[in-house]
Amino acid sequence: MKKKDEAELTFVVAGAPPQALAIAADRVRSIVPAVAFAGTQLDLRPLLPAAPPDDGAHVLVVRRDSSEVGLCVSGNLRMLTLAASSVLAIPGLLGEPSGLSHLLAPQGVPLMFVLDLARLDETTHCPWPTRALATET
Amino acid sequence: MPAHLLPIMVESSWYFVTTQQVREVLGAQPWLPIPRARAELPGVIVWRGRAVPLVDIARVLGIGNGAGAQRARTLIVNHEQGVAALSIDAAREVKSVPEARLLPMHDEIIPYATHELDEDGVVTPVIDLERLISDLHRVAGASEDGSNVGRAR
Repeated sequence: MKKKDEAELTFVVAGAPPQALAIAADRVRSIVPAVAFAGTQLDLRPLLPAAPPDDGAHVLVVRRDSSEVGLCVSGNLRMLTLAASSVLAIPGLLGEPSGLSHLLAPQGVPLMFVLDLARLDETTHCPWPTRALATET
Repeated sequence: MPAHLLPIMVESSWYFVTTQQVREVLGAQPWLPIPRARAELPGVIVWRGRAVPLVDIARVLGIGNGAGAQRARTLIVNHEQGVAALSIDAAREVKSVPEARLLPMHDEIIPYATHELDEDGVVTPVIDLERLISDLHRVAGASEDGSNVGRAR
């Protein structure tokens, strides 16, 4: 049973567990088809299960410093709200190399990871590749 | 002074670890693989409301048969940098033996085996968990130096 007045956090989830990624919803400004976003896109699709061929990629637009950046994902998107106590920090040993910040673990069962959006501010060592729009169809 | 040793089995072989660092022996735990993780640190479990790195000790010891990190028991251990979970096949009752009976290992055939205990001709290596986990941290830190050195905190 959830504790009364316990804080909750909402995430946009791409993919399906165990290969799903959660992104803090309050950082997502909009969600658009990948082809409609002209700015820099970071490709998160290698972290997600392969989407059906007819399922186009989407971009989650988040703010990075002064500009916006698109996080390119594939597959269905959904919202997930959890008690803050189910959001566990990942030890740096694991999180820093992988670009992940938290583990979502409702009832103590590990479900999926949260993308470390602080890493977006890295320019030369950002853990995710920039999507090369010109080479994709 | 006696040494307190926990016998653990990994891939059909028995090893000792000192009980000083052992917090708990659990059954198989649900774990989540981390994308692009090192094979020695394949994922994470939840223990007492914390995300804890899972160490595939079979792989670290060079005896992994590719069966993966899911095993029947999970050993929770303390170390300098925090807590870690080790995936093992079995554990037995703790043994207390005089420290003098622990002899330095003759060679480095088994990684992190610093001492051995001879019980009626059966020799069991003692694994130095602190050094093992420190090394995993050091290696992870080294890779961070290479890939994330510019990270703004």
